[in-house]
Amino acid sequence: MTILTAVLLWLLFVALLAGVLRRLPWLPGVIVAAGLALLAIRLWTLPEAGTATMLGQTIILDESSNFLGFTLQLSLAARGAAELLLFWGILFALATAWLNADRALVPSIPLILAALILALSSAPLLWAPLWLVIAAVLMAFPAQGSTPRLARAALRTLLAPTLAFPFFLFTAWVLGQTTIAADDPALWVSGWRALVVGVLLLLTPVPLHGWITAQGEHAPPLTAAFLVGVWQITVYALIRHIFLEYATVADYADPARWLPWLAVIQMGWGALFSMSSTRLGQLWGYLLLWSYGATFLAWSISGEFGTQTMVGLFLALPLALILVAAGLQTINARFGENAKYADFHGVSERLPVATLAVVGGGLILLGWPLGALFPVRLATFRLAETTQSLVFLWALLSLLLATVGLIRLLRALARPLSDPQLPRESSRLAWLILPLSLIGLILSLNPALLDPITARIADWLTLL
Amino acid sequence: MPTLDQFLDFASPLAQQSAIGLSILFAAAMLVASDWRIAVAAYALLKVLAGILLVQLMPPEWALMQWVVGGLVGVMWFLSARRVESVRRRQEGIPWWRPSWRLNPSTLMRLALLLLLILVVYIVRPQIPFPKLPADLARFATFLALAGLVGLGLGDRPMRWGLSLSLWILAADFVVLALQVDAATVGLLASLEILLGFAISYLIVVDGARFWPHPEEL
Repeated sequence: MTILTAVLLWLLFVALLAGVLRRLPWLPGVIVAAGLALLAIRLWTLPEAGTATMLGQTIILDESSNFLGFTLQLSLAARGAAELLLFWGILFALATAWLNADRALVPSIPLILAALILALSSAPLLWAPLWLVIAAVLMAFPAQGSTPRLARAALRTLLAPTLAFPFFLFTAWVLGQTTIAADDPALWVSGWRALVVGVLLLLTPVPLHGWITAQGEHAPPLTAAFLVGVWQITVYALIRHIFLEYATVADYADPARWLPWLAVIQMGWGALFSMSSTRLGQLWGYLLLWSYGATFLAWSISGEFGTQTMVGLFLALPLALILVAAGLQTINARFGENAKYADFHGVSERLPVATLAVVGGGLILLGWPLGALFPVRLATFRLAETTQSLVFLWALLSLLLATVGLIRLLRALARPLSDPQLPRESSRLAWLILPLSLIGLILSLNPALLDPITARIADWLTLL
Repeated sequence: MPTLDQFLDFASPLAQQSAIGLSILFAAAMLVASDWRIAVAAYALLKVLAGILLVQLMPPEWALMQWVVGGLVGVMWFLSARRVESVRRRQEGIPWWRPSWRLNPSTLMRLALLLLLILVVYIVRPQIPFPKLPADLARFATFLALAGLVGLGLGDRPMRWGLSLSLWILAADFVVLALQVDAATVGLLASLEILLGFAISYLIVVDGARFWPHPEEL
């Protein structure tokens, strides 16, 4: 048995168990969190090469699996990304269980992670988008949730990998035809161009960003945050691996030139429309888009030197996202999904913790001080200022606009109470956001606390 | 009953002459028709013709996988759409035989956009020179890809997205299968389409249930 087989079998077992028990209130979330935590710890403690024991079987760590003529191997780079994905899965399973939120998410978490890990383990790497289509199909089910609603979020989730995979397959074929391609430079160039187009599609730049905003508007809040986050980690790990393995692609379209602009356009778009949002879900979607762009901005301007910072960002990001999503979950339960600002009366009075979670979490997501993301955002802006001043100005402007969007939301939430029957919030929310805020505060004051973890994962990600 | 080879000997000359034109017609019907029955029927017929066209690129037993995929996906979508409609009709007390066709502005807009696309394709004749793909199939694949993209921009209903994504995947099938024909590639592309078809059929039900007076019946 290979390490990948053991990981997939374990994830399928956890998903099956959670699926069977899905009607119970909190147990499936705890089971998923515990199952993922056990797996994450085991992967962390495994040696980098040689043999080890997993699920009672001896496994050779360098061995690859063969499936239908495809080779799959959980390399160290894929293992690093898998650790990040498992960390997200643990946090979101626990948060969903604690808040008793949407039932469809918890059993899907291990399955989605399994498909994403398969994509990261694909060899040749250019076949990975085929596995991403499977991941997107699995993501569509929790995005739709367990109730009848507009399917926009689920449908748009399917878009990027389905559009992208033919371009990757074409490049894979060109790279496999070394003798023909050597005689035909045009074919070679078209292969690289197809690869750049495929990468662009996976990054979902504006105007393909619609799946992120649709997640915010039409998917349950915790689900939206989870799906956007794990997709971004996978795409980041996959694309940086592609750039490392096929370095020649930079000769045709240097990502150092276009990626910062792509990121800053996403941030600007997100900020502009979050400022003008009139619905809560709409604002959430555009905040997710801003955060998505900001993460790629951090990557694009720090390059290979910033890998450790990127890992730190991916470890801190769910803390902020869960804060906002938990607050939204409570407000949605009272006012309905994607409620209009005009309908809010007495939210801050009856739901003060949820108000604090949404507005405070939003500010933390943007990178304001005393939040978990402050050190990373500050480093990103400083680096942008010194290397690309125009990008810095646009990024700063987007930060200000998004902040104005949150202030507008705060004004709406602070309107006086009109319905005395509006029920108060449960104390469970406070018990969730308190530890998250404290951890975030500690990380903002001492970001080096994560160094032992981030350094090791960054080392793994850098290995080919 | 003719064998597969006899059928293809009979059908291939016809396919050479008319399959592409008919396929364009069916693709247009898939995107324009507001009635799901017409759209699913057009999809099934398009997949039949696509199977015949793919015979030019690969052995017939693999090319005709399109029929299998089209059949499975078409049946899934048919059952899902029929369930959504039959429950709605029953809850609203509308008899099953009363047609619910509407020539609304959205149908007219889809029709106008599609006519524009066909006009552009006819005048400009866009053709990406895909390696190893004959010129007529390359032009056809380009049309399918463009039609799929136009369809994706025409709304957020699951059936429409499913049909548009299937057009895109069909275009990809022509391009990829012209380059490499092996069991893994053919099987993986077919299974992806079935997987997407499965997801879309689920979404047809949960999206359509919004319009039921009593959605708890889901």
